[in-house]
Amino acid sequence: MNFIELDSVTKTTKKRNLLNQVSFKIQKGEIVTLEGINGSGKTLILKAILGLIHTSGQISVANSQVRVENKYPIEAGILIENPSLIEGFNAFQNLELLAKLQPRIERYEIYDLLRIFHLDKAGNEKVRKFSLGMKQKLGIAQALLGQNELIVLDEPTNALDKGSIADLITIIKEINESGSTFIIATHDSKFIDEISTRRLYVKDGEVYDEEQ
Amino acid sequence: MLRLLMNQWLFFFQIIKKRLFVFISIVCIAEILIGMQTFQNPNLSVISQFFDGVSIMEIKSQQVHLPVLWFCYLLIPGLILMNSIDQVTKSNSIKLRGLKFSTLELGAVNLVLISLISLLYTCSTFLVFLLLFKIDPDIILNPNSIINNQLIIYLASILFLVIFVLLTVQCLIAVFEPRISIVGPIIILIYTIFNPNKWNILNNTMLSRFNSQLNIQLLLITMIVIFTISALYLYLIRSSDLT
Repeated sequence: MNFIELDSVTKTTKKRNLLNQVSFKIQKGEIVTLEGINGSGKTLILKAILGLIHTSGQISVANSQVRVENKYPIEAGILIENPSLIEGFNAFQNLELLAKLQPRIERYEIYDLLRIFHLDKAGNEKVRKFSLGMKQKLGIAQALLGQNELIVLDEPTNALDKGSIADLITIIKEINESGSTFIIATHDSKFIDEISTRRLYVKDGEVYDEEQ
Repeated sequence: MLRLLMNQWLFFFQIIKKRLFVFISIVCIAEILIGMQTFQNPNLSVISQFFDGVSIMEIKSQQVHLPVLWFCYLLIPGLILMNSIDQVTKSNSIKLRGLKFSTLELGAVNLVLISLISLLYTCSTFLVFLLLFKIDPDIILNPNSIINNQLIIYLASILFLVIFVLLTVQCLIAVFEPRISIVGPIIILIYTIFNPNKWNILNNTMLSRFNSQLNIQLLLITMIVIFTISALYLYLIRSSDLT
């Protein structure tokens, strides 16, 4: 049974085809990476999978059709573009705010994530004083919070140092072992080598697998 | 839903807080300064200075003056809001989408945020009027005008509803083009100044056009307009891309 299935997904603007007949399947528990140059359509594919944009073609997640107007069929942790954070809150408060929308999340999960990403050292420091890398780590922590069935990350290694990337790889593998499926868009080939269980390549709005 | 509202309010407030404090302070200071000018003057009241507006007779005589205070009072909520609702929706919807919130829920919360900002603005500005009234009732009510307590309560209520309408129109335009969304309220305000249409819901925000016989009808029309534009907003939010 396919966990995620895209069938002939196309997104067109007046000027050009942004996604062109994209079709692929993702099984539960995979770590799929989307690789491609800037503007190739990686982020747009993630948005299509999440039902954030209207497309033609079929997208199904956990056997349910994905549509913008409907609720998303499953719970998903998402980081696309810039993390949305309350600048006047500290790291814990930002995660706690998100946790309040998912009552099953325990406080210790927040502390664990802060510790893994070394954000616990920031203590009560407000997010507005965070560096770009710290904000990125907090955005990733938001996406990983709750270890949802599906976790979607767009360029997660942006602004991260080597040590933080190593921490990210470790935590992604840990969460993946507990059953979460990952879809990660990145152009960081070293990170892809470390993390990916399946690589997809995106070029001019089309998706190719490794064999192609 | 309440948790979603709280979450969105915090992001919304983060964006608007500076504009909110600055603009509300400006209006409140203006009220106090005009209140000082009308102090112990039986022919003037601060309420009439703000909300007299342009009468139908004046429009017909084709010698219309620009009611600056009325115009500013109703435009400022739009300047506080700008395209913040659109910003909140776009920055947060991606994350909230994964938590199984529907576009309809996000749209409904946006409407509540608009009503909260309308309420906050109307209440804080009328609180200053109330304060001035406590100091000297003649500043607000004076024997030579039609203004009385009931009219002030009616005026505050109708202003809250009209501000909600103006802000929702602004958000409707922001769905298509956020940068020019403020144009919507400006056009409606200018249209009201120069047009004597007796069914315009903004008529009752001008004391000079106040018609006690049309009160109920205009209130009813206002409610219908609110329902219609809210439904239209929800429809647009539901059928447009979330990013």
